[in-house]
Amino acid sequence: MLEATNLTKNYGDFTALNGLDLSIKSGDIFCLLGANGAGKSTTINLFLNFIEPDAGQATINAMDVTKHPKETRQLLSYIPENLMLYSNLTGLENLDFFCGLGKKHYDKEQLEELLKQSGLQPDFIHRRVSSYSKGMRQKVGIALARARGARVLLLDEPTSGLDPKASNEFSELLLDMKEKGVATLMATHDLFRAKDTGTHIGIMKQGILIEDFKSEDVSFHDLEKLYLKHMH
Amino acid sequence: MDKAIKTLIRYEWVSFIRNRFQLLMVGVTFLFGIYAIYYGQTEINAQREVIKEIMELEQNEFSTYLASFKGEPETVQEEQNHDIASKPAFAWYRHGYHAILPPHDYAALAIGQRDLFRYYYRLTGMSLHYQLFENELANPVNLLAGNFDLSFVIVYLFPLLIISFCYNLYSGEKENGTLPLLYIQSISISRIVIVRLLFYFTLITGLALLMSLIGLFTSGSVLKEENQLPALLWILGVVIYNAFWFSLLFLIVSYRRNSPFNAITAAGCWLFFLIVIPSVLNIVVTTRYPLSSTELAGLTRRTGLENENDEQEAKEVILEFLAHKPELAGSDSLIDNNRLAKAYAAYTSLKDIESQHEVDRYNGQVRKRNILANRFHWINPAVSMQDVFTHIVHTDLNTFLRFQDALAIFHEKITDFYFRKLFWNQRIHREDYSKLPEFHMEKSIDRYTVATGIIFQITLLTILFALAGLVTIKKKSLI
Amino acid sequence: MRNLLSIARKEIKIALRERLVVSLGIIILLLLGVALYGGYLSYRQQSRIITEKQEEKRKEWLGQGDKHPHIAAHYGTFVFKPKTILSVFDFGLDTYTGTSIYLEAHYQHEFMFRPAQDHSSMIRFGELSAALVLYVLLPLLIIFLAFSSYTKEKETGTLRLLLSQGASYSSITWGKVLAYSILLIVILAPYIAGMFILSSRGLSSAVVPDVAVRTVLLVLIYALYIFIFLSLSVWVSLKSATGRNALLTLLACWILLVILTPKAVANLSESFYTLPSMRAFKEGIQKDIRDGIDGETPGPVRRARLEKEYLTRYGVDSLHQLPFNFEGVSMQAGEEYGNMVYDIHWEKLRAIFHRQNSMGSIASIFNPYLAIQHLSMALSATDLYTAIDFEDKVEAYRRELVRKMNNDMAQNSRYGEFYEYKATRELWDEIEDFSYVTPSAFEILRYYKLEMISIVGWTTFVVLLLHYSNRKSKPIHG
Repeated sequence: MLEATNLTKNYGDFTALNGLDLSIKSGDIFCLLGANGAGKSTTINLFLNFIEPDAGQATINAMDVTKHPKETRQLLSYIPENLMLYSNLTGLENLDFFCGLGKKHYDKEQLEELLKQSGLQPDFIHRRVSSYSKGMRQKVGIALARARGARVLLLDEPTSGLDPKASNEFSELLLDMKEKGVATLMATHDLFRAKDTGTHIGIMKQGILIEDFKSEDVSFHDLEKLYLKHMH
Repeated sequence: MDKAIKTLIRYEWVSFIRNRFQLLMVGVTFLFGIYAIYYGQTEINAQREVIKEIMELEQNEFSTYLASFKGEPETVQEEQNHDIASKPAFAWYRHGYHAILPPHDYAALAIGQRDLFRYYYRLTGMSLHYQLFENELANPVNLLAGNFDLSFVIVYLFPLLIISFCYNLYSGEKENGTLPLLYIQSISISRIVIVRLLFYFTLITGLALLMSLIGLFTSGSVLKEENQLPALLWILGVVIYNAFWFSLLFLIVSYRRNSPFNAITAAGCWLFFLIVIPSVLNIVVTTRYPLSSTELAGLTRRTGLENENDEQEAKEVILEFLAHKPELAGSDSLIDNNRLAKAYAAYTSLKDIESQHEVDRYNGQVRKRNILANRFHWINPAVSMQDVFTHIVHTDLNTFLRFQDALAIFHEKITDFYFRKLFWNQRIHREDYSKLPEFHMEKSIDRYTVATGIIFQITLLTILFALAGLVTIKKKSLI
Repeated sequence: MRNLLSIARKEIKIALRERLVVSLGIIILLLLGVALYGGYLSYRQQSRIITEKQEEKRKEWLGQGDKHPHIAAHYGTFVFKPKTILSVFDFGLDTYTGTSIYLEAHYQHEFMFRPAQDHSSMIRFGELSAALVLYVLLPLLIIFLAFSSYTKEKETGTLRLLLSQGASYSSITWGKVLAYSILLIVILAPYIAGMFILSSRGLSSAVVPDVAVRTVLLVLIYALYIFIFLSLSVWVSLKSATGRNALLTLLACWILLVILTPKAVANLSESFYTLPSMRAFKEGIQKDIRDGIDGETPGPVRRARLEKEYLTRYGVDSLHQLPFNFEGVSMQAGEEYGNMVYDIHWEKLRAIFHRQNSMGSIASIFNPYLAIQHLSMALSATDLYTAIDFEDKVEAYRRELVRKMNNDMAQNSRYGEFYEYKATRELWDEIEDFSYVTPSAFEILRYYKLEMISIVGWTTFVVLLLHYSNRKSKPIHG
């Protein structure tokens, strides 16, 4: 579903991403680990076509994102580290707004249902987003991904700053999406979540993917050891 | 309409309604507009009042003259009145005619130079220039402050409203963190920005049009033939002027800089268009074509014959004058009748003829200034818009210059009327009062073409900025 | 204190790295230069013309030949409003007050020719004077300079860092104010120095005797005005959550203070106290002269009374027996009556002006912009009260001129004669040329008490405001 071949991005002299090869299938949750500046966000931004690669290509459903920006965008949904919504609109209105920009049509009840399914407390659905916590906003983000019928989910450190309970709820939602065949690429610092939720784990350093394995192949303890080893 | 566009518009409206600050600004602007219309109307109505009073004074004066023809005069006063009414030797400098430049119905919306120039004159057969240069009473402090009329609200305040609504159309999304979610939509970000701009354009221009319509309807009937074209041009001007500011904001926004940068740039543009450029141009004009009214001041001096008892001097003056006006010449014997009155009439007329070229030169200089200032219209839509408004409602400088020209013609009519009687030794009869000279001012033919031309210039500038914005917003990388 | 200085140093460094601020500073400097140059050019042009013309008119007066004094009084002369040297700095009302007046017997002419009439409506957008740059544009530079002074520290979190390092709010605030003040002083220093040099020597003019005092006062009030705006900007930044909010708040204040209220106040005063039309004003004067101020003593009655009075005083029974020409006495009496009527009407009109302007003065308590505008004009001798003073002195000159002419006629001619008597150059020489000297700065400032209170009051207010907010502010609540 998601594929990167020799994906490279330079910022002047600095190589943010160096010949990344990566493949994520439907139903996979690929967790990217690595220090700040290792190239995790760059990878996600390249898939989002927010930036253009200097070499190689990123494809979604076998379509190059730079050549088919519209088609590939329709397939994906994105939740940044700090998902922000229009604070003077309610959660429901935000969802309605973003859905309205896309092709699919939902009526109010369906949208409410989506929000509930995504775990938003019912009494918050009609409140303005300015009163939401970060976790609540991310639930709206997930509801949006569902509403869009996204086949690909791109997540940039979504759980940073969430309390353990919210973090756990978020993982549940991801697993739920996984069951529906969504391919997920998640950049994170959370080794525990990566091991717990991810199907695959990659470790990046200075723009290079240096480790790439299935999460079931390592124990949490080994993962931590491995990670720390590379960080030195 | 596209579903996405509908959604955008719907939620922009919801956000607008929920933004108390924006609502407040719209409300305040509306109130300012209403006050401006009210103020303009009171000013113009006060002028109408003055005109009415003056016309009454004139009517009283002439009805006294007319009344004196009825029956034999009984008192000294009546006899005096009859003399003034019937003897040209008195009448030529006693009978006062008012030349009036009545305000256009819509002058209340753009007072322009109307508070500064005189809009009425009382003219007698005496030297024109002695009568021409008196000012109207006005408090210079208030003249300096200027008028809070509808044109001020539209030219000064609407751009600010537009700036405050649009400066963060893109940067606001970026700073709020909602931008990434918009990016992954199939509708492009440039389209979103354009749709929103168009939404606010409709909203704000709608407000401006609403105020303009209130102004137009309450200041005069739009159905009157002489009001139709002005009303139409006014509305067109308002739409184009707003469009200009929106296209400028579009250009600024398209560079995708942060909100404070956009706000400062937009405010800077406003400052340049509304304060810096015009104020610099004004001193350029002042110093490039220095004008000193001291040159004209001398013309207002009341002068007369050196020695009224000197028959020869009087005769020479009369003959000199008759050389200019051969049609008034009669036999030599005619001259000796009422010689002194004739000599004075001849004297002041000769003086006018002499000084006319100085006045012409001066007015020519004023016109040159105007032309120089107009040459910079294309770089400054704000000043050009003000100019359009004043042109439309007849409160521009040219109208007053033309009024002065018309005064000169009127004065000639007056002198012709009385001098014919005076020099031909005729009395003024009762019937003559139905043939008194009347003031007439040619309609300006090019007023509306000038206004349309300037509107066209602003339109071009608008399109230019919009295109530049379009190119910029498409060109830039996504983040 | 050390904290304060190091904060100021840091602020200056940051401000100099802001390209926008630097370029705006340069633009303001350029505009100031253009304004002063333009002001100086037009001052030179106008004063040259005025001096020439005034001399020409003087020559005409002296060389008018031998004629009857009353004809000379009608022939009259002209006075032109001189440009004051400080008008280079602030044009004030010069564009809107009349510039020439014709002085003759019997009639009080009004000033003619407002220079604004020689312009298209563009003139109403204002003229670029150094004063305009300082009181309209400089506050904007200050806003752009200072709006993010606190919000940036908040948004980037450096504020907490600073506070945790032991810097107090008060040292941060005053450090910032100090930094911006230093920047502005550096920007304006050449002009301030220039003004002092010009005013202390060379250009001190005959019209304004106390240029140096006025310059010092101008520098002082402008310094206070700039300080007020600076402190307010820093205060708003301290109170705002984001830079955007601070900027918008400050811009809104600027528009309200500089663009909206001055016009609104002027227009309201115009609506509350309406001026008569010139025609009605003149008609009123003529009527009172004709029918007498009580409406019952018309000219002939007054003349008859005067005749009787003189006949009884000198114990003669015909005017021919008087030792002087009664016609001259009568004319002077008529003149004086006319003057009295004129003064009554003129005072009424002045009272309206005064009431209109006092609304502006009251508004200036709430709006330092109005205060500085009025004070700046007053100190530059381009304000309304200087103009009124000028008019009064011109009118006094006219009266003196007419009085001398009438006296001469009374003393030197005989009753019933007119053309037989001719005065000569000697009499014309007796009339001194008119030369105007403005009242001293302190005399003029008496009219601007509220404005001065406003400037001082605002200065105190912002100092207290900052002092209070410094003590109350807590980093957590923003």
